[in-house]
Amino acid sequence: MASAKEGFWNKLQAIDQRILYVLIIVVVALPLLRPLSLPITVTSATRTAYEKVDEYSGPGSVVIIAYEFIAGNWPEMGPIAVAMTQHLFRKPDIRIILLAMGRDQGPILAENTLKYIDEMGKEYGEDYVNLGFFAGAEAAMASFASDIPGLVKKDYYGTPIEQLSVMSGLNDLNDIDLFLCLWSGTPGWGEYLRQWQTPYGITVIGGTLGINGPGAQPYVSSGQLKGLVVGLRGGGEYEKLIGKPGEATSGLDAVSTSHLLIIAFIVLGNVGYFAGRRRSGGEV
Amino acid sequence: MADIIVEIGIWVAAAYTLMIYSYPYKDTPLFKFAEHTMIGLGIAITTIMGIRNILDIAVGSIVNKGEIAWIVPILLGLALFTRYSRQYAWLSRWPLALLVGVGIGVSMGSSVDASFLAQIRSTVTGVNTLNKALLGIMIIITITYFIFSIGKEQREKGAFKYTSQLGRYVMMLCFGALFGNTIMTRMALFIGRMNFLLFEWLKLG
Amino acid sequence: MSLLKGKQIPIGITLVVGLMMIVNYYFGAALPAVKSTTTLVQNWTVIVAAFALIIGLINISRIHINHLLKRSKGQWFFSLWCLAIMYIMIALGLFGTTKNPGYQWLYNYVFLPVDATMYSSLAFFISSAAYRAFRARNVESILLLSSGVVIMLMNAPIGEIIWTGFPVIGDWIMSVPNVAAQRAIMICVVMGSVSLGLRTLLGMERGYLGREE
Repeated sequence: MASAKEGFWNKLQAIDQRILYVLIIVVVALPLLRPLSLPITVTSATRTAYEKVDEYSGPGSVVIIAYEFIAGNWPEMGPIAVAMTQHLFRKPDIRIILLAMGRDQGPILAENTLKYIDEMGKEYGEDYVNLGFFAGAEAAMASFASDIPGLVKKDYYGTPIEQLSVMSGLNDLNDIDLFLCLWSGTPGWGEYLRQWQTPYGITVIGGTLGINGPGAQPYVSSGQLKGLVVGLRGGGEYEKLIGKPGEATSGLDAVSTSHLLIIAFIVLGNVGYFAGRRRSGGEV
Repeated sequence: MADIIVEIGIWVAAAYTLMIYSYPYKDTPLFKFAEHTMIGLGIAITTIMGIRNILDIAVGSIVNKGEIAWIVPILLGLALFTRYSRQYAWLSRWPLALLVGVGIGVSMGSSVDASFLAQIRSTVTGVNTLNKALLGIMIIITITYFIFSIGKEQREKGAFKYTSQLGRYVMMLCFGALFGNTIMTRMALFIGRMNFLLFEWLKLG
Repeated sequence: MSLLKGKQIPIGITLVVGLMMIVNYYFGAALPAVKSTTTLVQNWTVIVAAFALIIGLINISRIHINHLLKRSKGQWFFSLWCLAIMYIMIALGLFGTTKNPGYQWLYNYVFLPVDATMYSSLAFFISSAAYRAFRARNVESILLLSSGVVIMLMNAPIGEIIWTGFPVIGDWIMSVPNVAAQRAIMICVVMGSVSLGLRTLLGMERGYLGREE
């Protein structure tokens, strides 16, 4: 009997990992196909980010959005980018500058973001512009901050900057009122912190992957980041705040079920491990 | 016509998605094919962005505004390619030195302010709640874990032994938070792909 | 000629340029000549960095052309495909600009799905690791796993339904011990990076310059 139970725990430990993969697929697919519609509570962190965006994007303000992420992060960063960009596009009489200095895919992901939003009648070149990508990461950020016309000659589509009224009168970072930093790694927030936030004191609201959330918390605590939207949960909360449910909202049910499964794996794995150890006399 | 192109695109995207997902099952030639596609396209996008910067900023300034000084970075940039020549590879060190010097200089100047002084300032000012006091204590005990210049005897005896052990415990709570958030990110990325496969490709919703 | 070919000049460039950046950060407002020179050098760095991005193209091309010429078994076809798709994309993006429908199509229906799927496949491996590797063997691992589980239930909407305490405890973990440890690590990392930066500027670290000839 003892050896049968021992066998059971050992078999459970040695389960084919493809079974685990199938379970993951099932617990993610089911709530997508049959939504549970679990309520999403907006946390104070996301609400603060939303309110700060409201506060610093009043009429006449100039806002920069940096799309510092890659295609691989689109499922988590996309909803954040769409929700925050939509929030800004709803603001009357503001100028919005889209750019990237750390990630070469930023400009095309900015384009992708715009496909999901209602531009609210804003005109390209007058109200918003995509400046494209600038190589050099931190050096480009430093250069842009101190002399915008010195670095920026054309937009992402090759139009000379002189022909774009949205850029008129912008000389350096002191002319910018708000900076939305959407980043997924390095180069990203760390570089903008050193070249934009610290020397110029610009107001920064962040949006980032879940995995970067803990690392960015000290900057929220110190006030260097005025607000931070983290991960798919943050994206879902922001979608709720702007009243436009999207992919984050629909994905959060699957987040719930998959997280419960992972917790079950951890518990089962540990129970099996310790039960197996006890049966075999405490030997590992 | 546009709809057909989009539909073909969706099927191609689904095919590539399934090719990549074949890897957890087994390393297959399909995965290798998709992997090489990704490498090729990724390098292409980076190259395009680099060339566009050179043309729009440097060449454009020379041609349209007569700003001849931009010839210097163009020459330095071209010097980077001498790394492939045994005879002239030494030339490629000069632009590298510029990149490293600027990189270190711009980051060093402000990192002390941004990630050192600002964080310390935030820790020691406005300590008017239990959590803030606890935060300050936890930071100090965690830093004691990283003091390796103290002798082995001192590290293993006395207060230091206990503070560095407590510092480890604080870090474990932090790494647990990191782990929990990592799970969310990984699952979110997977949920995104499942969304695509189920609704855009199979049109089940 | 040996001075030109040696490492002294590059080390000198690194030192001068690096010092200029640091002086500009602290005294740039009071020294307009330094500020304008620094901005000029930073602009130049953007262009040099743009050229550096093209190095990747050359390296990949060399590797895969080599495979093609050697007809490497089990590899040459993939190398041919990699080169073909790479140069097709470059042609579309440069000569057609990035608004080119072909460029957009390849990015949105080939590159984005592949890249996103590559990252998403980690979900499988992390689930396998959760089952096989995450063991609560000692106090530290118990703390790590407990904290991780609380954060997971804070992030998942179902966590709050199970117990309203999860978001509260999770929030405390994120804003107190997490910030404490991250800040402590950050402070130590900055000290280390400043000393490494100084060593590099002063020519004590020369790894970036490659091997001696």
